[in-house]
Amino acid sequence: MKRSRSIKLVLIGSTSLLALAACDQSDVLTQNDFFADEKQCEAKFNADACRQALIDARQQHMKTAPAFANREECEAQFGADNCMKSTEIAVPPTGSTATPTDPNTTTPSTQASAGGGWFMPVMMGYMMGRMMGGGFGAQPLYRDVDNRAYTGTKPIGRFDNASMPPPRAATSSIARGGFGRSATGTVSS
Amino acid sequence: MTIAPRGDWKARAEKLGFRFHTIDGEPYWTEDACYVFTAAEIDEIEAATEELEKMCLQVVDRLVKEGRYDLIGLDDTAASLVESSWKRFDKNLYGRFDLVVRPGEKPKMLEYNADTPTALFEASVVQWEWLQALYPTADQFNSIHEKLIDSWQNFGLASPLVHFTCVRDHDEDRGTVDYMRDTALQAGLTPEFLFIDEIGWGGNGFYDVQDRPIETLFKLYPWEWLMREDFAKNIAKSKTQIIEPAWKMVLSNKAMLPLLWDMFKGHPNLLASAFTPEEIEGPLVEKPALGREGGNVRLYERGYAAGATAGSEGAYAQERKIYQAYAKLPEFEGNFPVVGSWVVASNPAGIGLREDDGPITRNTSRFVPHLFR
Repeated sequence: MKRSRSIKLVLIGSTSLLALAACDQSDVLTQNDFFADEKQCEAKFNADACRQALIDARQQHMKTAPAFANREECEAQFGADNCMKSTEIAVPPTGSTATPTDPNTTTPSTQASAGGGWFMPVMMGYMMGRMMGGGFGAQPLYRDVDNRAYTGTKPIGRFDNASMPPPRAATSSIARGGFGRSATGTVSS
Repeated sequence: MTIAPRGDWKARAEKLGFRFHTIDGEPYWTEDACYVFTAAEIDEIEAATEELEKMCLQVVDRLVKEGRYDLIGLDDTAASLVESSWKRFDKNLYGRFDLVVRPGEKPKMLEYNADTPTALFEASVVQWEWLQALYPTADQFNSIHEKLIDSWQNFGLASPLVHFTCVRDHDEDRGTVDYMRDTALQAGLTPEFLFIDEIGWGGNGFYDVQDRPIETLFKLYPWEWLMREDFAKNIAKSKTQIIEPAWKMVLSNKAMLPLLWDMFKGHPNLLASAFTPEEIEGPLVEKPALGREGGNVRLYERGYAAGATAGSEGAYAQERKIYQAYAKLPEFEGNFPVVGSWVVASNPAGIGLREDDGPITRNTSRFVPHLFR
């Protein structure tokens, strides 16, 4: 037998969408696995499914996004300009990392803003696939400064740096573009 | 070698309705024909490949020992990188020999794609899936996938983080790199992608887009291009382990063909080769030393003095030339196949055939699957 006994592909191929359930930190998400908007979704699924998925994902987002008492903490994890204030939500999301306010206590947490708002990362996209509890649905996606992907507060893998460069956390003194200029011809041989 | 029926003959299989998944969505895949070999022919190809790889490594060793980088046309910076990577025994991952295999004759080496060989995914995965689907009881000379994963595991890397890079806007290259990442991931490594122009230099090392050090870099990008770019001088100062290693520069240059002939003159798997056409008797081919995809190749079917009988276009007209005895590709119903014989970690791993409708293989060549019984 001179051929491979079996061939499995884990990164490329149409099964990559369903591989998102794993928590392995080495899982890399490419732009085929999530959608930034309905238009991208419609390249893979039909328009009705995409519309519904966006609605579902937004509803989930309001309920399960990671929540922070202040903007600084949120941005430390999710990057500058990537956090929003949820002033319209009276009850903190279930993903909250802070102590929920108890209506029976006299004062809410001193770190919460006056309007009772919480800070959460913006939803940068959504993905569709089999849900943990069964069925097929959509989940909101967040991206932190280390380019890790989250649904709710659960990390599910890393974004592919090429298609989704992470938000820059710090200014760097590194020079780039020193390779690549010859690329007018073709590489393959 | 069998005489009748012919050793490898093209079999018309049923036309299939299903498409194989290819990364670039642009299969130049044929679903209605394949090549059939005998087991003996496969053994012959495998043995030839093993020999050729050994001989090529000896060429590198001799060149480094004698310091004759001028023979390949390498400047001091490149020579220095070749020397240190060879002396460190930097491991190599893969390469592809292009062979002429005529029924009843010894396989002959046309050239060695030692640095950036492609058509990897077709050879490793696509033709394997074709075999499983259509001829599950037949065999195929192809264990490339498994061998790649094993090789990653045996690389002895200091850290599991491996960076992969290629040019922008090139689906085929990106597809090859993504497939390599897949094999690295299955070997337990952490593959990260970045484009070639995103590689950063921080004064003491190379860094990725998140400012992390690049310790190991797989590049689908030719060494000779790296060497003429701004960061070339930084490579020696960095500790990045590059795959393919710098010593492959000796073999990815066709100027090594005359050196190979010089060292192993008369070897049955080699074609005569020289730096001047007068040294080759009979029909010969002129090729640029650093050409790609059959560009600027000129055929002298009646010998050099009679003038060129055919030629191909390309961007390498000004490059230095080498000369090689002409070995006519076998013809099957108007198609001329070249056998791409893959080595993984210097071991024969499988073959993939590409055919063209003319005697010079180009980028438009079709990949055709094979089997043997």
